[in-house]
Amino acid sequence: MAKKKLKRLALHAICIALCVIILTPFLLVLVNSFKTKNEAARMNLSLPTTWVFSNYAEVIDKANLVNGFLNSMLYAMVATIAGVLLSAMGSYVLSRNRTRFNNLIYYFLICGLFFPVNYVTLVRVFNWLNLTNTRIGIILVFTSAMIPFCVFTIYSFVETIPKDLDEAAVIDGAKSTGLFFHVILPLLRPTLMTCFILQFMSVWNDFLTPLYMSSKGKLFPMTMSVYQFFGKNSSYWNFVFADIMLTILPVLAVYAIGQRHIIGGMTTGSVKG
Amino acid sequence: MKRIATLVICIALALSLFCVSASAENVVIEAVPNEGQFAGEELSILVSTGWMDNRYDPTIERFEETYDVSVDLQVIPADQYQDILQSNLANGTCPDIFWIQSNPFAIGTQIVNPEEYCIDFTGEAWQAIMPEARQTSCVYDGKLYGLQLWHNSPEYVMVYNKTLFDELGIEAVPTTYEELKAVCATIAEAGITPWFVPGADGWQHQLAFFQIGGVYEETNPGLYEALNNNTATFAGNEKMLEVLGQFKELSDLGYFGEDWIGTDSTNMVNEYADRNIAFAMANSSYIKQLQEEAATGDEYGMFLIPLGDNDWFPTNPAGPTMFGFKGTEHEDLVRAFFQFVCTPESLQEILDNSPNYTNLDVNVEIDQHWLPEEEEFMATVNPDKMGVSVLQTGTKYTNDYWMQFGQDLIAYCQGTIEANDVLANMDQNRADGASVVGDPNWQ
Amino acid sequence: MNKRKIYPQWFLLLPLILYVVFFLFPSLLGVFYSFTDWGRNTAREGLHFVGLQNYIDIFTSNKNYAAGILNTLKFTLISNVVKIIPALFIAILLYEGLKKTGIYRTIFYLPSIIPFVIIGILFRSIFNFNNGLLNAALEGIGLGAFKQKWLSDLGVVWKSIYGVDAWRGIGYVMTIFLAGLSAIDKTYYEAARVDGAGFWQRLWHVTLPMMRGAIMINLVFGITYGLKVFDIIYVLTNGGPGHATEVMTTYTFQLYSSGQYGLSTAFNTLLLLLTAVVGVLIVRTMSRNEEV
Repeated sequence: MAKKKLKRLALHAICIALCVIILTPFLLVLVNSFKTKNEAARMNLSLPTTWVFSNYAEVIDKANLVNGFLNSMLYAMVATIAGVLLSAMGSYVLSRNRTRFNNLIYYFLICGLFFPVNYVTLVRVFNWLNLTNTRIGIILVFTSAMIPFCVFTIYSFVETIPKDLDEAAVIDGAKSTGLFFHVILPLLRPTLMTCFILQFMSVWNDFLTPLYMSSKGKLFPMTMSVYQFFGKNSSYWNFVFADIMLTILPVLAVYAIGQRHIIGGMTTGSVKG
Repeated sequence: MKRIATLVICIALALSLFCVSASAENVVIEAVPNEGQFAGEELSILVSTGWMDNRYDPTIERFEETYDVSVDLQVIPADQYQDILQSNLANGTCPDIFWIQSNPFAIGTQIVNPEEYCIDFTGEAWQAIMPEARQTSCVYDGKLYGLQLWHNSPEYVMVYNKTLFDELGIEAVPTTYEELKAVCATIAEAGITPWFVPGADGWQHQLAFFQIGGVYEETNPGLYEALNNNTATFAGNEKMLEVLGQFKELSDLGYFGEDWIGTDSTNMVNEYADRNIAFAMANSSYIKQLQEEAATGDEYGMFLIPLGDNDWFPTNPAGPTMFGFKGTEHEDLVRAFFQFVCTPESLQEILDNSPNYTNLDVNVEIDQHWLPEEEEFMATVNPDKMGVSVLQTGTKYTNDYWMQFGQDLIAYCQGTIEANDVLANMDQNRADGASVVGDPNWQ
Repeated sequence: MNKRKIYPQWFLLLPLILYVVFFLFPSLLGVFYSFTDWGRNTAREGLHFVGLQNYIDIFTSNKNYAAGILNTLKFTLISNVVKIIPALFIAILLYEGLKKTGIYRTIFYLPSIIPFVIIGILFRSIFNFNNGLLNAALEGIGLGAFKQKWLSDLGVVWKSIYGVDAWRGIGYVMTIFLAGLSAIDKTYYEAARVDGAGFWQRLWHVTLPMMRGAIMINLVFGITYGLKVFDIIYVLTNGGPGHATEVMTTYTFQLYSSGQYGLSTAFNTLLLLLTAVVGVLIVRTMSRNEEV
């Protein structure tokens, strides 16, 4: 018994050591976000000589963070919900009705996992469609970009839902759309949550897409704001760090709330042997 | 002929430093009267980080109030800026006003097609507030496109800790390479890094090679013109090879610090203030920043970069420059903005809100804030050695491959390529740049 | 029952349209441009077909583009090895070795939610030779001899990149493995235990075969990530010191910035070709596994 306890202790020690390695950079950000400009430039872990809480207020004001936050929220929420829902509809049909044609479509969609995004030509397409400088355009790009990943993840999850269910529901008089939205969709919830969380975070962190797709500062997301504070000749590291803290806070929240679903959704889905 | 013209311009630019307000004619621009003609319109501006900082903020605010308009300022990360701008220009989605880092060749090589993209400002009275030298960065084919409001302080010379030099018994600043090496040895012996070179930034260390353009031109008279006509190359240039060799020698001797290639400039202010370093390439206004931000009683001064025994002043008629986008829907508002910015009141406001500037290079009587250190330094510069601009703006396409040259320079210092390869790669890059814009001299 | 009726084909319409218009079509347009002299002066001079000239330029240029391609492959291989193997053991450790592991799982995953720019700023500072955290820590615990020039020593810089990449990515890989582990039927383990199988035997005969799906996912994501890698290198070294850590995407970026759009898209097309070949191979293996 003692040996088992010792072993467990050793394993905890390993985990704690790993946590220290992982958390140190976060601590660096946190501590330095309360320092003065020059003290923050030293980027060490010592506590601030004077705690400058006003860094946060200044960052919110100077970088127009409220507007950036609302944009980021809008893009991440709408694009992700739309992307996950559309992918679920698509993968459901592809998985259930495996005709030659549908199999082809599946692999055609999956190919997207391997393609690099080409912003330059994307901007061109945007122009033709008159979508430049619109929020809807930005959202559409995000939504499209997540389709391959979501279809890939959801497709195999659909297989785990017994087909008998569909037939039973149809016999009970359900329409095809009703069958999907009332019966299948709720059952897909774990994997939808997984996709939602992963994609929400990647949309949140992506600032290149809005940057290329719009030329209006009003449309910029929160992650862009950090650039206001460092430049060629002088950088305000205290503001940079405060800005980082504020920018990752919402993602942290989403992650904290949803993290158990990430594993939950993959459990029965694509990772089964 | 062209060369003489540039020469005259460069001298004029350099001399204007001396005669700060004495020679400057006073051009007074008045703002467009407000008759409610712009009410409710929106003006958008595309700019890279650091070009406007916050110094235009109060002026923009006043502009908004005066005409009842709103200004949408889009600050783009520096490393994305070129791509974003080019993509916007090519697709016709550019904001009303955009900026480039201009020099006498930049309109041709960066915008390429100003007729198509830029509002023609020819005939605007505000042209005259810019000194002649700056106008060359704003005019193309005889037409006025840009407005350059930039400072005229010595840029990227050696800023050194005077007090430290005194304490170490260094009596004179180095003026030749051998002197520099001796000074470095003395400083290094005291356990201090002599020359702080933040190589990890990727854009700073190559300044040592380019800022001393005058010395290359002096050694091979006509070099700049030949480089621009594609009748000379960087490769094989003895003077350049000598300078590269010296740079590597200092690197090998450890005078740039133990790991200069992996160090960036994040902590540079503190490195100065903590006396970990003795000098670095910086702008004169950096002294102001040091005095204000770092708690140090040390005094600072400047000297010219002495690689290749250089004694030429780094004259540089380049700077961030504002252009109007031809496809704009508010051309009159754009014109009003340019005019508004050029009023004496706005210019003073812009200077006063620039913590990193000591002056604004304009033909307008405003209160400049020259540093005594700047005046002292300028007195040591030979006025005959100001007439050649720095290599990166005096020769075409060179500046466009700044970062690549920096990478090659580091590869050379690490011994993976030869000095002449660094130069040959620059020739290759410039040829690529020339072919991109279809330069006849390269065909 | 009529499948087309229960499973309405129009469900596919919207996702397909979006995917084609905003994702696939721009990529293919890029391939088209790689056969032209598209550049900064195109607006004035017009666009011309140049055939394979851009591709020839890539392979005949005296710049060492081939090294960039090799580096891309090297990164893909090594970065995956250093992430997948440790992640597997950490996942097993969390799943089998310990109870109450929620907090560890949460923390291990954290790095993958930070933007790359920030990672670059942080680690460039941590790696600083004189006052960086890492060298200071090594000195503090008496390992001063192991101090390194993390981002400038040619023999170390790739290791630093792999290190940061692992720091960022292990949590993600581990999470997928954890999901795979929790899907394994416990009875297999009990049977193995009854047979007296040790840790390695269980790993080899039960865990790995049962986790084929999770391993496959990690390989797909890992390999495509590796081939397309840009951000982590861009923010840490930007291809340096010198050109030591240049990869395909950093060259694409440079060429684009200097206005050689045609050449840049040609490079991008090569990358696309490479990922497509690898992709087809993986998808093939996957579909074969499914049929078994």
